[in-house]
Amino acid sequence: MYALHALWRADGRLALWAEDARAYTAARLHRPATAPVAATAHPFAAPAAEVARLLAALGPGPGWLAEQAPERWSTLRLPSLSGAPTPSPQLPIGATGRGVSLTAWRVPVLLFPQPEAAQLLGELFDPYWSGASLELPGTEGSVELAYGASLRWLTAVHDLAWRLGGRGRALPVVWERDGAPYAHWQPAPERADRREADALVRGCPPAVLAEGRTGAAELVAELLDRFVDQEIRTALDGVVAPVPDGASAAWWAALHRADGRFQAPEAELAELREQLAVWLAGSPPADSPVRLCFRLSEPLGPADDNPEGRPSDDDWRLDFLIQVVEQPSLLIPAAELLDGGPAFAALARQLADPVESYLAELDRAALRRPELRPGRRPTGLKLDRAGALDFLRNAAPTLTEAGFGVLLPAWWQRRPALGLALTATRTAPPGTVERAAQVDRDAVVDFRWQAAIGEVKLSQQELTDLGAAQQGLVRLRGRWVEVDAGQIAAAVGFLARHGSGSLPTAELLRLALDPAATVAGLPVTEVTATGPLGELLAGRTQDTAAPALPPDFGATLRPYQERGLAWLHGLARLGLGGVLADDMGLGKTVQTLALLAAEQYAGTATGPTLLVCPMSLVGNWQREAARFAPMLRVHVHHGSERGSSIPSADLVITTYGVLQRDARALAGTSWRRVVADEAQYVKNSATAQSRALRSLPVTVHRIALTGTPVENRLSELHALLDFANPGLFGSTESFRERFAVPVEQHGSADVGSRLRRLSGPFVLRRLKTDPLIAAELPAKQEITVWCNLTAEQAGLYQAVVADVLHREQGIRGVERKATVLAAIGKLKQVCNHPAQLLHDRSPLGDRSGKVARLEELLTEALAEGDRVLVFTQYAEFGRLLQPHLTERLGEEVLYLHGGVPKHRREELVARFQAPGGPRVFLLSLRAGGTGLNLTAANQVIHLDRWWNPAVEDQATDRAFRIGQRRDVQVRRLVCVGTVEERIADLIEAKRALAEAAVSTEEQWLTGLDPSTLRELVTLSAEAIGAD
Amino acid sequence: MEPDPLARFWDGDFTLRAAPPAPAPVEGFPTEGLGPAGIRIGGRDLGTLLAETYRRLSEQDGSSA
Repeated sequence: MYALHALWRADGRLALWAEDARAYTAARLHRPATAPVAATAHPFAAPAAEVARLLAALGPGPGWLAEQAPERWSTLRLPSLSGAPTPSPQLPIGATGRGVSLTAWRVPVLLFPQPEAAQLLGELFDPYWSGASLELPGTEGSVELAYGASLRWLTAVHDLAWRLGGRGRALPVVWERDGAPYAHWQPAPERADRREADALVRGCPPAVLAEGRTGAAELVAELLDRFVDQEIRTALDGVVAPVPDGASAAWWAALHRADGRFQAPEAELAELREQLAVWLAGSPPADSPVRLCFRLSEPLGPADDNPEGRPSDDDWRLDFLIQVVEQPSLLIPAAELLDGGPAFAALARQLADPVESYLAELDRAALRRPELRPGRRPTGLKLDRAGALDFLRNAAPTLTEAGFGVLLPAWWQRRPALGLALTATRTAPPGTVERAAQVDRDAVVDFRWQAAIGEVKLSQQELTDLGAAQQGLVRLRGRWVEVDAGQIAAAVGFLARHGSGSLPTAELLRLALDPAATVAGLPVTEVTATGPLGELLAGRTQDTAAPALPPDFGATLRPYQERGLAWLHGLARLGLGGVLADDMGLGKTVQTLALLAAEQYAGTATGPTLLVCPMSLVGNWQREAARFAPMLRVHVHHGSERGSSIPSADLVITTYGVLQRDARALAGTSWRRVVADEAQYVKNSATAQSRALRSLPVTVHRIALTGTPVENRLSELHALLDFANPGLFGSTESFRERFAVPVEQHGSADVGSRLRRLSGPFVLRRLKTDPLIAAELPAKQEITVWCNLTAEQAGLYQAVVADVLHREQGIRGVERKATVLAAIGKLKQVCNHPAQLLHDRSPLGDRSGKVARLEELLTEALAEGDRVLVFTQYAEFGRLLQPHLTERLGEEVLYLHGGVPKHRREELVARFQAPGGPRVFLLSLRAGGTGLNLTAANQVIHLDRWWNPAVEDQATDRAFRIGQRRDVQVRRLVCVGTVEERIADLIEAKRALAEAAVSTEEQWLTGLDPSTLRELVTLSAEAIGAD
Repeated sequence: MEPDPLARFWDGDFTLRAAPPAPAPVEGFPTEGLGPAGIRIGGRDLGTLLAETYRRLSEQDGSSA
């Protein structure tokens, strides 16, 4: 009589052993007096060869398998009493007394590797009989062989696996086995299968675990995994012919042969794994009321085996939780669900089978991350630091993507990276004097690099310790940080070679201002410095208060203009240049003049400011300076009468043309500041004008003024930035490579954003449409735009004046009045354009300073997206202008005059008002002054002065209607030093005295006495704008 | 008196099934409803190949699987 037992060893092999009833009887007669102190041979276990004989007697299959099986000894912990193992119930010995304990015994076994084990268990599976009567060679009669419960249980587990395989309940996956890729069929049990497996777990005989294994659940999971793979592989062996190339084909072929190992390039393998995991894991059940979540907890308390010690760094825990979708804060630990307690009951109200749903989702997660399914009914995992880091870095994103909940420690979300921090100190070279208040871009500063994690700067010792830790997660000053050995090595190497030294300030600024700056592959986390450089880096230039203005400054700055003044002043204090790029009409001129006035008032103006502008703006600057900053000594270096020397002045105004011609003379002055107005004129740094501008010696800083948007023309932005702060933004080529190409050609929003941050301290741009700015603006801004005459205009003007003064002397009364009015009319026409006076149909060309200024204004307005009404009182001038402007602006210009029929007039208005319609509307004052609704416009330009401002106001109101628009700018173009300016002054003076005084059209002019008339019409020298 | 925990050492509580529980209601192959895998093998999608494999397994009479 034999009893045949089985167990599954940790090495993945089946062990069979048997008790021999005859040996038991013999052993009882020779029982030792004392219990064995070490594992000794089981006294009635059959020799392995005897087990093989028994199997051979069962049939040729088991017999053949037994012949292949090696004989070994296993140490089993078996019930024992009084120094001897107690027999199993399968031996007909009788009941065992009490006092039994487990004792280790050495038992002879036959070992079967997995394929043979699967075959043997299939052969021995017998649902009807638990034993057999055998005919053993050399033995008389039959011998009874009883199957122990351990053997029958293993055949049951194998049977379940066999049936799963037969129903195709398995998914193909890529495993790693012994460091090599392995094609594996992973069980995909259905609900009934799970129940059956659970029953097997609950009914597992302890004898199966006699070799010391713990956990029937883990054993069932392992066996199903092995046997399902084995059985499917056996069934498919040879079905698929090898396919030559590719990881997918190699893997597929390996799924169809006995050995699942295969080879593939690492990159292809990784792609296959990813594709497969994504496909198999699919999506979470669409309407499930619950969601599986994973919560990673860092070690918090001391280790269990050392309650007084500090927390272990390797005691991480990953808990599996069930989240109720409608109550996301309700997280039920899987352990509570599997216990079948209240949590189970609560979930059972929403799910047919909560445990099944949980396990199915866990299976889905395991397709992405196999380590999440360590057993049949896991509730969580213990992880060491490496495991925790792998979960944080790799598993968490994967699981989140697959629709699982993932809860990570808060610090991980904002974990700082290892980087390098730079500290700079400035020391004046021996024999030189430190300019305490300014940043000298050309100066050299001493620096020291330090490794840093976030804001925490590391000592050399800490960095060394991090490198020695060989861990990806390290507790540093009480906080967990993620470190990368490669990055630490890079930091150590860099600090050893370049830890300290000196570098130009410009280079330091580049590092500080570029948020994406890296050194040795590591991010630059911080740049700090002492002195004014430190103030700049700390952003304190933005916070400075506006300096005080002298009491006689001729304007009250709006709040945003005060901020602009403060910004300019802050830059000047640090010796850094800037680009003031406010929209047109926001007051770049008055902010610049305020800076000069404030410096003079404070006594800090150390030298003159040179202002360079287009010829058309000279008069404007001159007039604005006289109006706002009368305390400044202004010299206009312009015109044919200019000398070769520059007289002493606070503000010298010149043009780009003169600058180019007088470069040497202008370079002879040490300028406190150079201001480039309409700085887009120097956008091409290769031109002679641009080179002349950049070569001027400057002691404090450079300012560029421009209202043209710069974001979309990055090479121009670079030219402006490079003018303001030479070299700070790198070469044109490097700027193009770093910013222009990514933004303009690839539309990179990130790079665009980085550029804005980088250039931010040096560019101030406010839009009139910005609600904060608009709130500070008056509802209607009225601006006088000063223009100069060209030489041709001036010649004509003087000829008309000479004529009228001559003719006026000999006439009186009505005739004189008519002559004076006609002459003034002619002078106004000259101010507009020579062609208007000459009526010669000659091309407009560049013969009028006013028309040139008009073109500049319209170009700028259109660039800002504005719509403009342009009024003239002369229909003839309008007819000349329309084709000219259409050509110069490159877009349609509408024109409405008194001769336009009503239906055409309505059509023009409708087109202008329509979104996307023409953006410039030219109107004669009489035709367009009344009865029109032109509220699409937000800019109004009056080309020539009407004697009665009420008429102008009426026209302006076509665009400006209270309650409809609050952003209309009204410009009146006035030629400097001409009758236009003087009449404008008279009108303003009269309006100031009494509004009614100017309500009678032009008649009041005709009564002027001769000397006043002469004064009115005579041309000033400053009127001429030609270079 | 507590039952002796080792008294059941050799015993199990399970049933060997004489036959698969009456043709189990087939819930479909494991990859049904997942759509194309996007993994091409010999020019065919893995999902298609797997469906054939599952059919082949389930059509066998159990002698080999």
